[in-house]
Amino acid sequence: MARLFTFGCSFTNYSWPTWADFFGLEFDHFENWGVPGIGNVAIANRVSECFIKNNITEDDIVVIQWTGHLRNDYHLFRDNNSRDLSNNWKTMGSMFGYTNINLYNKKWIDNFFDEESYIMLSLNAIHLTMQLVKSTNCKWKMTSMGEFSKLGTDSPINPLNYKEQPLSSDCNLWDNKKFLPYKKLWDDKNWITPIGTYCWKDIDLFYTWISGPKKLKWTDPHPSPESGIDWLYNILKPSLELDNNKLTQQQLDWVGKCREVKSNLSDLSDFGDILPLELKNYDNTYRGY
Amino acid sequence: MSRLFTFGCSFSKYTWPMWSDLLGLEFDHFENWAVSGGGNVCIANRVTECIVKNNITPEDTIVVQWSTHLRHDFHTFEYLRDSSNTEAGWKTKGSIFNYLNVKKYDKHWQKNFFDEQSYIMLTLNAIHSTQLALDSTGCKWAMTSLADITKLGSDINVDFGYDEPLKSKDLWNLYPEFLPYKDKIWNDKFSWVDPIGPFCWERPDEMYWWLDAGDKEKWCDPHPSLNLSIDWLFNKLKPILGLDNDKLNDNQKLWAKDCMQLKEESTSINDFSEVASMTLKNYQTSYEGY
Repeated sequence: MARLFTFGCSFTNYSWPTWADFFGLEFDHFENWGVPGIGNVAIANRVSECFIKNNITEDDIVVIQWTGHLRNDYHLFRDNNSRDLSNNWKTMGSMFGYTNINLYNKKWIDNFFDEESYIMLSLNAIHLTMQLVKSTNCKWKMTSMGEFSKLGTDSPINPLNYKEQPLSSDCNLWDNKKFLPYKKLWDDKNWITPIGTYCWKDIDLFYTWISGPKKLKWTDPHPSPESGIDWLYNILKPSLELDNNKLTQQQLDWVGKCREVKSNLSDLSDFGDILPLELKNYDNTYRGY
Repeated sequence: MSRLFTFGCSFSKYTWPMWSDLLGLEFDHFENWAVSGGGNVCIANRVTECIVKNNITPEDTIVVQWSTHLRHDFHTFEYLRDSSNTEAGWKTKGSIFNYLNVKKYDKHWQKNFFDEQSYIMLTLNAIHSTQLALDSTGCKWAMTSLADITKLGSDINVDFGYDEPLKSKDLWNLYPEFLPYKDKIWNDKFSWVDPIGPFCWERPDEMYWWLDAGDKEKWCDPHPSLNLSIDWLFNKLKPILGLDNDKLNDNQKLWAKDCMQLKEESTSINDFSEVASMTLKNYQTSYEGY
């Protein structure tokens, strides 16, 4: 039985079906372990947990999407009233994003934050996970939001102060000699074009929303269903040597339904609430610990 | 050329030679990547960094000693940017709850970020990923730990004020949801060696006891004395690595003799450590990696 396991942040599991969910429709068994907002350490932990719980074999396909380096991953099995999240991984994007201002105060930053160290943690997480995935002989691919070596500077869209861009470090990772030993990780042929890098070229396909008391219009940096499918069919599927001629009927149905619901809504929250009820077999529930 | 890389916390790199340093005397090339106070996330990161920086081959030997789950690992490169900052990159100082960390991990931090079960999960994931990463290199490798990881520190029976837990605990009874990790991590195909701590703590008479300035009575240092390190190395680790454990080499004998003499002359840990680091031949104390 062909199984698909996907990992990543909101570029993999979001308020509407991503490339992962569309791809999952083609498999007998699909698990989307992506979690919006999480960082690379959490992604590595979730790959490890998934591999422990599932006997991954050469028949399985694993796709891992890495994210920005400015996310501090932490996990709680217990409830935490300060975060309105049902996920146990509590990370909500960049430490410096608007959702984290109270959590990461000056004392915390002074004590625990060093941007270069966070880059190192990401690189180690990626390497450790590559070795882990290789050990199973499954088919696997790795990608990222933007080019990892550009450290978030290649995104043309940065709404609502997500603040995923570097604070002090160079905009080209390899200009920093400390990290050069890690450059060879990207020599592996299993890396494929980053999702954002590919999709951001056609911003017209992206969703725009209107929010706040001032009714401001903003472009959502996450690939729309059409953009996600574009990347899936032109980048991911060819790299896996899978047929990319045409969408399945269910994928077409989903695209149609997304367009229909979107045409009636301009608020992201409403869209995220209503859409899952309209899509058959769409499951974006949280997996794992 | 034979190479040895070792990893761990203070049970692998301390103020006097540990089992790792002793074993290193038998190799052409030796790097001790252990960090005093480091936790398991730190250890996994350092194994990764070492693999990335060194072309690890089947000729190499790697030994990883895991620590306890109650350590919060964090890192800075401050020491490279500011020459007055001499502390190494990984800043962890033992248990989150010990006296050294009271200010850093206050109630606010604990409320927001700490959940013991989550820290156990992080440890299990760190071990699992590291095992597969080591396997992929084809090197000879083995693992051990400070105490029995599945007892969650409850077998640390030397009260050294570092606040690792003392109440009786069993990982699989307390958190059965982690059972999927049990057979994958403690699998016969991996080379696990008996934990160092319990091996030594059963023999308090052979541990080092110190009386520093200000101390009213002698206290037992939980770290293995040189003789206990030798005993564990030759009776536990070397057989598992398939290495000859018949007798100590000349340099190891010299360290044993020098340390015995030095211990007789010193009651203070600081005095003992200072002289040991200066006088023991080929004793490397430098910090490896980031």
